Amino acid sequence: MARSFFFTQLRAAVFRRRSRAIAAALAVAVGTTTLTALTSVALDLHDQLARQLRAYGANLVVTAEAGRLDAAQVAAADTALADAELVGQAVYRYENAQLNWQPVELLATDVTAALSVRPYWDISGELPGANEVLLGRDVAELTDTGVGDEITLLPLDSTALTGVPVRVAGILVSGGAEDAQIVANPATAVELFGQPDAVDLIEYSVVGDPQPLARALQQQGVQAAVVKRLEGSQAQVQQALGALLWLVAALVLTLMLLCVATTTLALVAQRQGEIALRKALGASDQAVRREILAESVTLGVLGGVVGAGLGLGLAALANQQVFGHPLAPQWLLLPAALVVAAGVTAVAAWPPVQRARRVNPAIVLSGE
Amino acid sequence: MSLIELNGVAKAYGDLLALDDVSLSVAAGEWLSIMGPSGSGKTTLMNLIGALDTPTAGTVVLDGHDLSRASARELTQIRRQTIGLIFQKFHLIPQLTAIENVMVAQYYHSLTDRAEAFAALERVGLAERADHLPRQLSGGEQQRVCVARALINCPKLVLADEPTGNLDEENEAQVLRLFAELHQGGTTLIVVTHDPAVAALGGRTVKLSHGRIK
Repeated sequence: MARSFFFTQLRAAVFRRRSRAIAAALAVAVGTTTLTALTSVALDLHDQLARQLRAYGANLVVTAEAGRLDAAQVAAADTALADAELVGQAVYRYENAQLNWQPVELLATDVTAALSVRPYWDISGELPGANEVLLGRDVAELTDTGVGDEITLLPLDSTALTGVPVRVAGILVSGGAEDAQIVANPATAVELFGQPDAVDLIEYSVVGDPQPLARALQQQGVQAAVVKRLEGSQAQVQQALGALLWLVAALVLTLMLLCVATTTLALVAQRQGEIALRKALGASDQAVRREILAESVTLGVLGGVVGAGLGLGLAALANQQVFGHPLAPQWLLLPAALVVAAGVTAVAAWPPVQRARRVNPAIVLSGE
Repeated sequence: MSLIELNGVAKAYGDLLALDDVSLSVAAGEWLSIMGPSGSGKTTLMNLIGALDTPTAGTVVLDGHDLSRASARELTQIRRQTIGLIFQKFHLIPQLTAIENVMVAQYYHSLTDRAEAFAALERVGLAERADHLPRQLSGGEQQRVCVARALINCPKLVLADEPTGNLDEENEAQVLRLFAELHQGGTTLIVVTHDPAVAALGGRTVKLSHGRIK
């Protein structure tokens, strides 16, 4: 019965004094919302940054030891990366062609796949379909060719008078070597140069550390190079952002602690009469301490539940806005947030508990 | 047989001497009234007898326990077991209903018993108001809840500090009738009052002036 009455009083303190309880729970809820959101974003930062930085290019490049990659090597590379989390992958073939009797380098690739590892390609016009190409900006300017024009391509060493006619689907600007190249579909390259299986280069955009994958690929007899500059940048950015997020989280935690401590202190000050009465009726210091702590922790948990839910929602929203990618809810953060909220309120309630211990019923109840 | 024995009791707050060499004996079952002007030391005397405070000098013996030498924990235990307190300002816990306010005294004493608490409210004529919060009760009703709370553990001593000070005539009569019932039942009553009519209901009146019994 005594335990049941303890909870009766706890329920009354929380739900019948709603305005005061809301003030305390709100402080916890705001803090927990911020903490949960920050932690949620911080925990997913690695994957999000990896995705974002992958957008700036491939981080693993595979070529042959000498000459071209053969079909077996391409298959072996695919097998080696079968379990890797890939953002993108593209296969390239380089050939020397001629356009208007001028030599020009032709890059044969599936443009859609190439865009997954070279998202910085800026294409005016359309993606090339069958018998269509993209002209690098420099080539287009040099030959005074625009979107929709028909051009004829020939292998560089060909002396034939007629070549393969193709339509210019778009103009490509990359700021790199592609500006001086013609980008064609693999089928067009086969029509011009034969050798359907010819591959010079494979680019991968891998989430996580590509180094072990590079080693695995090298064991398959191919050259695999990691784009280290990008990896280094990612680690640095991730470290800096992570540190910033944790710093803000620590600040929020401290502010929440102060806020809850102040609110609980105010509650205890307002309830001096009640505490004095309980002591006059025979409540021990331990009983008073237990009641204040239980009340604070209950408010903390209630605020924590609301805050953790809002925090996960806020994190998902922020992630969508900032990274343009949904954030998978990290459900484990819910119990963790509740433990933190309960812990913070228990710590914050300690000074008020000490104050309650010093309440002298003889003075408070006499009103003198 | 004395329930309370005060010998040469003094209580000082800094330089202020609230009680000075007070000796008093209260027999078990007695109704004692304490009168005196404001600042005469009535409340200080009540606090000492009620185990809420300890004297600066002298001894206070309540039901065989020397309160002047008791630790804070022992004083708490004595309050819990021996004393029922009634206040002028009622001091009900605002978020608890009338019956829960009565059960609080049971809770710190031993075990809560809702039926018993309800019976105590019935005795003070508040059975129908058992589930009301203090703010939903009149002053007289709140004081009667306070009386029910003081009686619930059947204390040997009931201390009432200006119990009718905030009540209208009708409620005052009702509370005093309850005191008379208690007295007839053998409970020792000490009532601090300004009202000579209330004091006259007691078997004996002690008058305090400047911290001394006149």
